[in-house]
Amino acid sequence: MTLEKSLFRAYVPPDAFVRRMHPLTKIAIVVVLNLVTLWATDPYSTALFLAICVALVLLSRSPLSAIRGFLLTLLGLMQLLTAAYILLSVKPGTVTYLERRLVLLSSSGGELVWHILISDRTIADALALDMRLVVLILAMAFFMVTTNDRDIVYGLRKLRLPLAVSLIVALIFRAISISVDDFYAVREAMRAKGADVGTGPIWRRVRDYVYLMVPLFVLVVRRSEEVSLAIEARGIPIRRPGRTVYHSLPFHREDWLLLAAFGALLVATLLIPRLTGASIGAPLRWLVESLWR
Amino acid sequence: MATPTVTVGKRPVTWMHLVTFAIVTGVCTVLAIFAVIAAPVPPAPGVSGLYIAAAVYVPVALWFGMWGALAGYVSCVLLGINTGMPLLFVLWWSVADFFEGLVPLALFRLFDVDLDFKFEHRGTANIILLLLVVDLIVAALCTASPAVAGALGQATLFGQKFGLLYLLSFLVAAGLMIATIVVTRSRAWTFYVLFGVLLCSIIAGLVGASVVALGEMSGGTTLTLAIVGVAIVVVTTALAVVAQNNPKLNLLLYIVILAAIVAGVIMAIATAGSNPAYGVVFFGWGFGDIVVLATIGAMLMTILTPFIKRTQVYIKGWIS
Repeated sequence: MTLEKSLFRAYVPPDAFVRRMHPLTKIAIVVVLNLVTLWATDPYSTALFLAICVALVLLSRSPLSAIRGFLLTLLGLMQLLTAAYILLSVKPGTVTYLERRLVLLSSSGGELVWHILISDRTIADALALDMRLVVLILAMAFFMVTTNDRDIVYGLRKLRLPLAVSLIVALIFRAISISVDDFYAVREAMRAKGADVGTGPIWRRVRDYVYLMVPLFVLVVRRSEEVSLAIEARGIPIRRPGRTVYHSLPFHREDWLLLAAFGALLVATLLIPRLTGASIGAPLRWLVESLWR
Repeated sequence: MATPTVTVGKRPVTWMHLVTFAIVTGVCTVLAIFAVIAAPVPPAPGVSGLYIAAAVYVPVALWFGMWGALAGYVSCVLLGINTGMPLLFVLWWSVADFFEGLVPLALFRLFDVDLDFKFEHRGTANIILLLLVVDLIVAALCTASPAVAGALGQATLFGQKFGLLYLLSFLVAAGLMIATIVVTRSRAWTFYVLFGVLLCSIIAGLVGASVVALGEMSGGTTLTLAIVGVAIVVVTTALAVVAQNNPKLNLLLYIVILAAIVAGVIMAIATAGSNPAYGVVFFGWGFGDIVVLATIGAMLMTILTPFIKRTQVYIKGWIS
């Protein structure tokens, strides 16, 4: 992996804005978006966070297209979960669109009933849940496609964490992309030998996964030996301090601006409901209701 | 050049252990993300009914000790934040996967069970295990719904009325467990079936199913749960580091592990037990794990254990 390739193997040009962003700024953005979506859960606030997240991805020109397939799969999955949420949660609202009691099984022991209740509250909550998931997935994807393992080491060193801890965290992220490559390599090797991997009845798929995982674990052991020997050969200590790094990543003006903006978002999300009783998404709500009328 | 090490008790922790932990975490994360995409359990995002990574948590904990259990926790955190779960949720929720590795690890160490899976009648043992899994799924369905329990009629036992299917499922489970011990006569296999398949999955399911209520809790409660989750992982790991080769502290470690598990289960049930979706997610989580541990996990244990035991990455104690 070259310096320009990120954890998700996306190519980021060296002069791109996101490439120059400090890794701690990116981590702070992900953490802030995580916290605000947790604290303000109404649909309008979540829509506001979604808009901020999409704007960030577009303005920073993050190469999310590199993981389009993964993102589309996840977003498709979110729709399935939202549909399930609507059908499985029972939340009375002001307007009821559908209410059914389906008896799935009736025996001497009693009845097994599925109660479906779709109200305006169910729809609003499901919409907020769906948008929140999209915000969090986009935020994490933004981090993963624009950051490489060296950035993680530099970022964590900036926080004064020991080199061993920084290295292990970076190695965990690196191991994810290595594992994906190994998984495909083993699968293609099995296919090249005529094995019909991943098709057929469920028991055969389970068996195929065991066949896939055995060489994967043999590779884990081999890689552990190789990587640990490489680290030891470089004289990197586990605990002793004193090791310095050649590269340094300074904070740029854009980093401070972004940190200030997201810090303000966090404070506003916490304070606005306490001071005014309305959520941070209230202006958006007012705008939507004005346009609706 | 001397190998840089941290000496803990008699056995040192080397880079090999730390690197193995990092790489295993990466593998588990990939498998976990794949499982959630392939077989989600609605309505909880990040929960899978065929959680392939769970099949790896127990073997890696038994092979790599506390590093394997930690890999379960960290990979579940990474899975959660990659599939749209808030960070505070996953810091609590991932404790379920930490317990999944920790429970069998602690019990194997407590009873000093050697990972020797060489025994006769392996085919029969596998069939018995699969029958046990099917029987337990039936038992769980009966527990969840009186309608299913009474599908074959009612029976009276000690003056109490029970669903006939419910009673039969427990009798069959007991019979199959006895058959496992008689057929295999293997301590390692019996322990793996009891604790590495059944007990750890049920505990993980009970804790993990609390995810259904996290979205409805106040920020303070979520933060408290997240802190408790991280504290459980940090305290047990730190104590395992200290207790390495120290029999006096080993007893304390077992007590702390037991207390952590009991506290985790009680907190999960207290916070989410009244949610109607709790049972659905517990069922999907717990029995999804039982299925993959009884199939993929069991095969990995029997095939790879002799190989892993010959390498330097195999851990006999807690962390080295």
